[in-house]
Amino acid sequence: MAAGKLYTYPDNFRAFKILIAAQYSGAKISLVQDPPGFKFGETNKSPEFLSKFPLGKVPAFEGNDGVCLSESNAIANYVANSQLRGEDVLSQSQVQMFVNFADSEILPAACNWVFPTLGIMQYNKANTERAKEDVKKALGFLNDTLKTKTFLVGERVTLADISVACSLLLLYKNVLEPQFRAPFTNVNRWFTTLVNQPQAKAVLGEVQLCVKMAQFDAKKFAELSGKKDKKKDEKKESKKESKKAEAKAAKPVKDSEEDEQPPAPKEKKDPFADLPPPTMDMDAFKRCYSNNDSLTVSLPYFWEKFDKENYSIWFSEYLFPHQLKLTFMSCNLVGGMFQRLDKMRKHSFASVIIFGEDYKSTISGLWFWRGQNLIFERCEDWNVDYESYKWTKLDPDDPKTKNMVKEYFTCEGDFDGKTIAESKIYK
Amino acid sequence: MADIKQDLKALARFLDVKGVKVNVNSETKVPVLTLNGMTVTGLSSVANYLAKTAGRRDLIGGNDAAERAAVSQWLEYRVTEIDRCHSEKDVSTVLKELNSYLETRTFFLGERVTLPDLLIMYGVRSAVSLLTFQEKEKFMHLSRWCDNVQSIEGVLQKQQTPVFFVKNPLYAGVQS
Repeated sequence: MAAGKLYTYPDNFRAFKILIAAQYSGAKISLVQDPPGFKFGETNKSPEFLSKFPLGKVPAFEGNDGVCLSESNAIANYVANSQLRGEDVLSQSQVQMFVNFADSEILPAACNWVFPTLGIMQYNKANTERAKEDVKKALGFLNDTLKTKTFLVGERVTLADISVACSLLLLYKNVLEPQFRAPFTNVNRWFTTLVNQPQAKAVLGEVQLCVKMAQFDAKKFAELSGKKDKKKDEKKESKKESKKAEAKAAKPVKDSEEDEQPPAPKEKKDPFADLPPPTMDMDAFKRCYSNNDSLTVSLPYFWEKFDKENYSIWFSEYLFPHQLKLTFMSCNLVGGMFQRLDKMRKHSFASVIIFGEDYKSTISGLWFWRGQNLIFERCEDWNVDYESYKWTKLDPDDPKTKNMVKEYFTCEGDFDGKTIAESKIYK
Repeated sequence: MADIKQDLKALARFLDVKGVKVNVNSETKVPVLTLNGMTVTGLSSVANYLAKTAGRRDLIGGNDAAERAAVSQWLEYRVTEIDRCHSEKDVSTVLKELNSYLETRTFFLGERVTLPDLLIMYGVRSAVSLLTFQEKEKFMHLSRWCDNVQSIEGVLQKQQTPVFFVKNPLYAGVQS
C-alpha cells in the first residue's frame, strides 16, 4: 500500500482528493503543509524540491520507497484502493471520465465565480455570469446522471465522486445558495451524502452549505490584492523561473527569500537614463483616455500630442496561440503580464485584445512606449513575458498604423475579420 | 407482502450471527428470536439485538439519541405499514411514500446504511420486483435506493438474484 509524504499548502482542495482517497484505502500519508517542512513559494522552488518535482507544483507526493508523483489526480489514483479506482476496465474508464469532467467543466467555472467573492481575483461581470451558466450546465448533467444512481460510478464511492465533490466544494460552500441549488435535488443529495461520509469528514470537517450567495467584495479585494497578486506573480514566475533557478543553483534559496519583498534596490537605476526627457505627458493622455470617448476625444488628442522622437508604436502577437485554451484563461495571461509590468506603466500604454473563442483564440495588441527600442530590454524585471510575443515596430506616419491605433484604442473595427472575445487596456 | 421470518434470518446471516432461531406467531405475526438461550420478541427488538450481538452499533444509530429514534421509527414503519399491506393499493401507497422520502436522501438516515435500509429493502423487495420498468421509473428514487442497498455485499442471499433496474430513463415524464 502506498505510504509517504504529501507536500501542499494548507486547505488545498486538490490535496483533499488525495487525502480522502487515502482515508478510504488506509494509505498512510503524512501531510507536509506548514513551515518549516513546507513554505509555499520557497520549499517548492528549492533545488532539492525541483530535483524531485521539476514543475515545482503542489500537491506533490513522495513515497517512502522514493516514488515521486505530481498532479493531484494521479496521486489520488496511486493512493486509492481498487474500489475507488473502479473494479473493471469500464468502471475505471467511467471514473476517469468524471475526474476529467471535474477538472475541465467544473473547476474553471467554479474558480471564476468564487475567487472574486473571496477577494483573490478581480470581478468581471461577464466572466461571473458565464461561469454561473457553466456551473448550471454541469450541475444539470450531474443531476440527470444521479437520478438513477446513488454514486457516479457503480454502487459505491469511487474517485469519480471524490473528484467531482471536491471540485464542487468551493461552490457549495460559497455561492450555491438554497434557491440556486434547489433544482438540482439529486446532486444536493449526493453531495451531502459524500461530504458526510466519515472518510470525507475526517479531511473536510463539517461542510456548511452556502446560505447566501457570496458577492464580490471590492474592499476585501483591495486589501488582499496587494499581497495576493504578488503571491500569484510568484507562483507564475516560479514556473518560468524554475529553469533559471536551476541554472544559478548557487544562490536560489537566497533569491526566493528576496522575492518576498519588492526588489527595490534594482529600481534605483533609471532604465531611461540614456533618453532625453519626452515632451508628451503620459499621465495626461491616460487621464484623457479614461475619461473621454475614445473615438472623438482621446484619439485626436493622442495624435496631437504623440511625440515620435521619444515614443514608438508597436504591434504584439502571441507566439503560441495553439496553446491557448479558454478565452478567460488567455485574458488572465494578459492580465498577469500587465501586473508583472506594473513598474512600466508610467512609460507605456497598450490595448491588448483576445480574438476568437475558446480553444481557437489569438492575442494581439497595440502598444506605445518611451524610446525607440523594445522597452522590455531596458529593465531585468520587465522581460518576463515579452519573449512569448512577436513585436513589430510600426511607422507612426503610415495610414495603416493610424487605422490600427484607431481600432485598438476604441476596441472597435473589423480587425481583418477577427471577432473580439475580450479586451484589456494597460494604462 | 414480506416474510418476516426469512428477512430476520437474512439479517442474521448478513451480520454473521450464528445459532439463530426465528419463529413467527401464526396469529399475531410477531417474530420471536431465540439465540443462546435468550428470547427476544418483536421485529424492532430482534433486529436491534442482532446488530448489537454482531457489534454493529453503527447500524442502530450509534450513540446519537436522535438517530436511534429515527431507526426505531422506520423499523416501526416496516411493521405497521409494510407488513400490514393487504391490497395492491396499500402497496402502491407505501412505495409512493418511500419514494418521495428518498428523493432528498441517499439512505433512510441520510448518509449511511442503517437497519431500516436493510429491513425495508427486504420488506419491499418482492413488491418492487413485480413492478414494470415504467413503474420502477415512476418510483425512481426508491429504485435507486433499492439497487444500492441490494448490492451491498452479503445483503442478498446466495440463491437470490438482484432485482433488475434500468439506469438510463426510458420513459418521458413518468417520474413523480
